[in-house]
Amino acid sequence: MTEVYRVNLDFTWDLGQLPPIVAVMHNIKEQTKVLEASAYYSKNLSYFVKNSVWKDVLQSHANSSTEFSGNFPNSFNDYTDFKFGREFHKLYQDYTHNFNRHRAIPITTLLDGPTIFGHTFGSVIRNSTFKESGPFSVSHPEVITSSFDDVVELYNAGPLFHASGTPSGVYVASSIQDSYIDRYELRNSGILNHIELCQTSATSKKNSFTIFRLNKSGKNVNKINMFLHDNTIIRQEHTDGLGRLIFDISKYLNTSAESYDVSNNFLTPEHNFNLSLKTLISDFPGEKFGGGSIGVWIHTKPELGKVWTYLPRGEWVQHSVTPSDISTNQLINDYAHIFRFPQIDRPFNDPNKFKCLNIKTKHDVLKNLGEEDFFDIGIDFNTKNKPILVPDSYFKSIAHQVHRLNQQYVIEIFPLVYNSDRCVFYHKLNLIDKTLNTWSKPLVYRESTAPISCAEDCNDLRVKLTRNQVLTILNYFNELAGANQSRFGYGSRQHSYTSGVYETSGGSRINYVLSPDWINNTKGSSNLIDLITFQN
Amino acid sequence: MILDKAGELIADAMTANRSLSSIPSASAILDTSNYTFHAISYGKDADGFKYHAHQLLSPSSDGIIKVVSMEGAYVSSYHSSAAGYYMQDTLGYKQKPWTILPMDTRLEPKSTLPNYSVGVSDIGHCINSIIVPSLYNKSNVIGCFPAASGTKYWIASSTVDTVSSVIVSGELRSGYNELNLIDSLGFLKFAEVPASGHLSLWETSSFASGVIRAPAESFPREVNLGWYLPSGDAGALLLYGGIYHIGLWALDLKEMLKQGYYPPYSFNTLNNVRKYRLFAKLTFNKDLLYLSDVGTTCSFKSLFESGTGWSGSTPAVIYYWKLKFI
Repeated sequence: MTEVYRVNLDFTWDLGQLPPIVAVMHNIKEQTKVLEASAYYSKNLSYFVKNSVWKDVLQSHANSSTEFSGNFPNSFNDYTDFKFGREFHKLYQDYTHNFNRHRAIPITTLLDGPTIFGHTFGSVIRNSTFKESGPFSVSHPEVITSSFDDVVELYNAGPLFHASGTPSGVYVASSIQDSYIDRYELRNSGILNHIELCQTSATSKKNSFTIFRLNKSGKNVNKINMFLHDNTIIRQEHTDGLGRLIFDISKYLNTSAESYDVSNNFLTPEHNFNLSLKTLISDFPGEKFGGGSIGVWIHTKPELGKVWTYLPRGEWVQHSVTPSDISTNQLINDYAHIFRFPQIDRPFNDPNKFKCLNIKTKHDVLKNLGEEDFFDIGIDFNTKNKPILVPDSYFKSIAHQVHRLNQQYVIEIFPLVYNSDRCVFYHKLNLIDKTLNTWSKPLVYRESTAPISCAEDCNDLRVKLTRNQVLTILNYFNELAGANQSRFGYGSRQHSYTSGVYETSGGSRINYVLSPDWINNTKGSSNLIDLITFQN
Repeated sequence: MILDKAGELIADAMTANRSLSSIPSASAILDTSNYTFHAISYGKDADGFKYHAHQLLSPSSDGIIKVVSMEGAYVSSYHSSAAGYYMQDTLGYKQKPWTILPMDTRLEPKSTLPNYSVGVSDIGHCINSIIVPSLYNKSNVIGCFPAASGTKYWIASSTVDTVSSVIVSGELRSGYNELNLIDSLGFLKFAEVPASGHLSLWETSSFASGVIRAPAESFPREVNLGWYLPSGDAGALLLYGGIYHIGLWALDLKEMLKQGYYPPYSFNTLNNVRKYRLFAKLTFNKDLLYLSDVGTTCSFKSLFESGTGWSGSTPAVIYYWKLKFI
């Protein structure tokens, strides 16, 4: 290279970029100050109310705490003594052990399924927004409705719900292991990735699913409906049987090519979860919302012919799923979480409730809908083993605990709408691991009256981190542990790994006090060490 | 263990303002020699500064370094651990060096002031009080190094009547003080020669100029340090409680600039303007100067007293320290 660089006349140099971890630390501490101010003013409301009209009281308090009270940032020690908190280390432990310390790259922050981000921020369930096509619809995109001019309704007993339709991804649920209800079922897993669309055999051929994923390419930008064109909406029409959306959490593998390093999804034992669903029951003109119910069945896959179901009263119970032991009615009455939606009228002449578009066909209903029209339903459940006494036979033949990493969970969603002019729309589903979510947020303040056992929902003040901030911390921890490719982990406590740097016993020692006898030395006749070589 | 302060030093080096190079009076701040190792120090447990030869054994103003071996009349050498063990029961002395932590900024965080503390600096390690005129008369109880011309010592078997229970006595001469290698605060200087000079000293094991730093096999990932402990200094350190810590110090440039001192910072044993920061330290659970008598021979006397042909540069012990950075 003969290139001559221009002389730097301004005597400045690039000292490099700010390490991302420092930026995260800074952000956490800055947010902490505001939350501390919030805790303070929650007990001094009069000042807050009086002054919040002319200043940002919380930020002002946070700023003055730095200026006058020695609060962060006050010295370099604020960064070198930084603590992410015990809970974040528990999250990292789960990331390391349960998620195989999967690759920590930006793309993984956006993945549903078995990633620390999917579980922490949502969604545990793959394809929670229904945007991923299944194997069949990838090769046959025509089964997805991309235009209102050509709506493709996938009818029961049609090619995609027929015993002969195996290439489309359909299979007949006919064994106890499939836990079918009342009659054999036809389940298609080829249309939407990781989602099974289920129809009961020998029921009305009018039962159908329609997958709306409208194509906006080439569309006039002024006519693009952000809700419709950016989302996938599932419509289910249902008159009899028990057609369902089935999310078999661990059944379908997650591949390395998809950026997953954990092939089987799972629910972490001893954690709390929240399942939420955006759904809407509507008549075909779109004049009436509700008038039906949505059921959710949360259960494990059969073990010795029985499943464990999470009941609405907050318990896991074991029951049989042999055909003679469970029926649709039993499922609805005893096991499922039922959300009832009373009918709400949306008269055409009420412009606040109805966006009056030209309704010509039943499909046009969707044109009138926005995100705000959908209802949220939510279920909190847990995978706590402590309250469960497993039967002797289960203990001997299966496992000593119900909830374990290799337990297989299924979530099934079904409409209870038996009016032929009604349909159900599903917009998106989300399942988050609330425990991980809480652990991802450093604790700032907890009321002294909070119970000791308080884990989540304790009205704690916590710093909410973004997915990318969590990624930065995980990468930093990985760096310390030597988990980042060829980088040496100076923070590792594996003695065999670090002994080359920290001498015998490496980084696993409880302290770094040495005995001279451990170190290469020579002694004279009086045993005085007269030559010794220390390392680091 | 390389300490947190090492990170500060590196940060300081990387953020030194390049524009100083155009200011003649300040350009020396950018000299790389300001950002390397400059001293070694020896330390022991903080409580040890109250015991061993620091105990006020009457008469204490005679300038003699006095210890009670606590092992009876039949053991002629001194063992800091044996003395510590016996004093644990009788005096409640717990000989427990501070457990090393990355955030340490001195060898012992607790006070290291001896019993006689008037005018003594609490610096966390063994100081060299004998060269300070105001401390000279009490230097035998302050410690921790003998005079270049020699300091008398006694090892006695009884605290009741030290004079008549002396087992061994003699004189220790300080090689460090003879060669002006150590300042009054106990900082042993590095050889003040260019890098190439350090390499030459290393190759010939010439320690009389101070501590040597030399590139190791995989330099710059590894750096070798080497220095010696002269016999008289080793003997005195043992009588004052042994060596349980070794500290490696770099200059604290910011502190010196804050106090109005500008480089170059010359080493001066008595009025050293250099301020140091602890870069790395070693802590031991056994006295580095542990020895045992050989038959009827008092090893202490034979090893540490200056015999025929003694010179200040004669090592009793040679220490090597390999620092690995990556």
